[in-house]
Amino acid sequence: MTLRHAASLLILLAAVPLLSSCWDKTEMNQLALVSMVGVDSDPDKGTIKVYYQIINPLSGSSTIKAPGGEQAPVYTYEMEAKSFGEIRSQIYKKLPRKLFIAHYKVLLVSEQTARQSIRDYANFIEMQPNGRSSIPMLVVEGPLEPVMKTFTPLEKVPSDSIRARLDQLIQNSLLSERNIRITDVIERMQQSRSIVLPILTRIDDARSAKSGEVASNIDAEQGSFIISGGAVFQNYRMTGRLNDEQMIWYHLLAGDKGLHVRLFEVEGKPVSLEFHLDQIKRKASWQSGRPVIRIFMDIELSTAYTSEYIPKSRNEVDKMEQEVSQAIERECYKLYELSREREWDLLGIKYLLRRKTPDHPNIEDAEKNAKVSIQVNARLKKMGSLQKPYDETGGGS
Amino acid sequence: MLLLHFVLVPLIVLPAAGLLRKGHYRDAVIFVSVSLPGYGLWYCIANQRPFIITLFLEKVIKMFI
Amino acid sequence: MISRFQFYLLTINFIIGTTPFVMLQGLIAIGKQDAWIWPLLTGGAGVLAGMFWLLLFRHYPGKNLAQIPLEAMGRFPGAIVSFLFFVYFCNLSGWILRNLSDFLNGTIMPATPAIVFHIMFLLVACYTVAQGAECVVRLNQIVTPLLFFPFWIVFLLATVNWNWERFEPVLHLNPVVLFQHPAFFGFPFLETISLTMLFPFVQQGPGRPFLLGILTAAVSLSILVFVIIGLLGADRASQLTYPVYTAIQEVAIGEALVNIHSVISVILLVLIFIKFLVLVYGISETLQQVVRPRTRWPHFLSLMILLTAIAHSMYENPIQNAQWSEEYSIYYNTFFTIVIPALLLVATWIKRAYQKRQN
Repeated sequence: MTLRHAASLLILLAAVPLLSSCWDKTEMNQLALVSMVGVDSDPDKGTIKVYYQIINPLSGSSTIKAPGGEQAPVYTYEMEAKSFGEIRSQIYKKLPRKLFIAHYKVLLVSEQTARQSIRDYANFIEMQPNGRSSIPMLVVEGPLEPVMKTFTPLEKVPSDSIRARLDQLIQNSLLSERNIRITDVIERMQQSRSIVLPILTRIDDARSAKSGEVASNIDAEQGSFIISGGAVFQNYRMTGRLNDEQMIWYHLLAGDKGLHVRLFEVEGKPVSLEFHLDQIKRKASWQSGRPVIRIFMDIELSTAYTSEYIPKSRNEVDKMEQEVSQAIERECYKLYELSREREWDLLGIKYLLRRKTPDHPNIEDAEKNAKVSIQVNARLKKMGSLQKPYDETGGGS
Repeated sequence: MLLLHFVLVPLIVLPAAGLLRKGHYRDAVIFVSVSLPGYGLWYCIANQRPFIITLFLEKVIKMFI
Repeated sequence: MISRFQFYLLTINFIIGTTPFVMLQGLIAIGKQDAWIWPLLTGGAGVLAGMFWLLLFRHYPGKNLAQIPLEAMGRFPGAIVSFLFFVYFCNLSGWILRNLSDFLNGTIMPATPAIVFHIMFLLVACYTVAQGAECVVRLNQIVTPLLFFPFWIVFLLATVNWNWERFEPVLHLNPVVLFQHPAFFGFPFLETISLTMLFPFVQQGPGRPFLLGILTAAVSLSILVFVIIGLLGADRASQLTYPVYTAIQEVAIGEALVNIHSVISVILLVLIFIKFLVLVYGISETLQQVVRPRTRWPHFLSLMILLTAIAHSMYENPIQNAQWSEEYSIYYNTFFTIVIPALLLVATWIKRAYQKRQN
């Protein structure tokens, strides 16, 4: 009996050190929850600067008000070192808690770093077991530090503000798409494709170091930043920019199904139409050594936001549909010409050929030699609350 | 090193002695003959010069191909 | 006794075992977007190997792999062959423990010493095996739904990232490439010889559940590779060490639950544990059959010492292991799982012919 008791006691005692969480445990309040990461570089010194924006756990609405006034929702720590790996050890010279990056929401890269290369960062993120690559990456125009130290009105945590804006843009416009995450960057760069990431620009230079000031200022623009335009990346390097107008057509050709309202010209009159892509089909074939790409797009129009002119008869509808289709085709061709001139391959012609006709020898020069034809079929399907806009003349119909 | 001997020697010697006292001679021999290679491998590991099994198998296979 | 369905489930879980951790990356690196077809082909070869083993076992109904050499070749030479199988199973167990600790150290628990994982697994495995073969098989049956549903539900959640373009160009790769990498035939299908240790317990004969289990496992692995390619793409998956883990990392349930990969890792661990259980049973049963000891637990203790030592000595770094797997593992596996059983078969035929002539 005693032997059995002794054995069971021994086993129980042995089980305690074998609880492997003894080695890997971390308490919640020992963690620094990173919400946003910013990457900048100094080419003269050959160093990298990383900014970690850490959420302040005391700033929630449920916590007791700390003595000394309002708590900042986030704190930004910066660290400079010769490589990303080194920063992981050196950050604790400044940061009092264990870096926990598994929940970070946005990655910002300075334009300077983007133009050199972001390959090192992509490798670094993928190599870490706790790093998530499924978060969006944006390029910051100008210096990175002011953006990392800017408070945002309405959404207190700046990374939430950026993510929420991106989500809204994705749904309500063609200015942004879902595939701007680090995973998408890695996938496309590895396949020698291009990707366009959004650009963050500061609206003005005023900067407030106190979140309370920003929260109580009626001017939401002061010191804030705006998401506008796109940075073209090839081979992990930023090679150019697209403005908002070009972003619309780039996303349309990429198959983005967001709704976008744009001012078109129909029969010489301005008309704001909402359009969105129903279906896009791409066909690739080869003719006498030249790739022939045919893109067919079915687009749905809506006059929900049209205040200028609403077609009254089927004839007018047909005319409007035709003109809008041609306008969209023209804009798409313009984008293709730009892409061909700068060798950006924004339409993904090489990728298409590699998937459909992988054995053909001349895929690399495809974009330059390609014959691209874009066909748009726009149809008015939805209307708004107004059947006919109010006009200037007084009485009468 | 000390820890290795501190842990493994009682773990091998005590059960072996127990088996011998109970008269299970064959069992004691088997116990020791299975534990000893383990002890040898652990000794090499503790000395930071582990005996790498895959490299050994590679040598054996290369002898025959 | 165990039912045919229980054995079928055990076969599937055994084969899937460590495969999501060890083989996926290499398979996708060579097979690219068509890699999902290869488990089907290697599974077919596995079925052929299974039929070959069943041919041997038909001469010895109710016997397991450790008893056959003793009967076929006599006491002393048979003991040597059984000892070879003992070594084979010990090495396999060491590999499994090492794969396990590598995975956990590389992903969710980097600071824990590897021996802690080894001892924990060994303690539970030895206890389970000491209870008998039925315990092993019943445990597997209970645990299978708990593995199956969460695993596939998580992948269903991950399909927001699905992209059919990642499979194009379809069926572009020459299948001959697979035969240039015979390592994929060895692991995991040739290792299923370990399951033959449980053959005597299967009611109404183990043949059909065994072969069906191999087929089902091949299809499951094919689906798993298919899902990984669809979620991550061949280029990215071939460069990640644990593609399954990364694919699950990117699953988010709403905005709040973004870190469920650690939970899913535990599910994958249980699969490894099932494979490990079968192997530990194989080892202890071989020991029992060859030397017939009178006590139980001291031998488990000696096995623990030996297996933890083997786990640490298996390879120095994963790059060594990858090279060994690629170049030499097929010879190693073929020797133990094809050559030796062939030897036993020949010995059996000779013995039968001799006995017939004597009569």
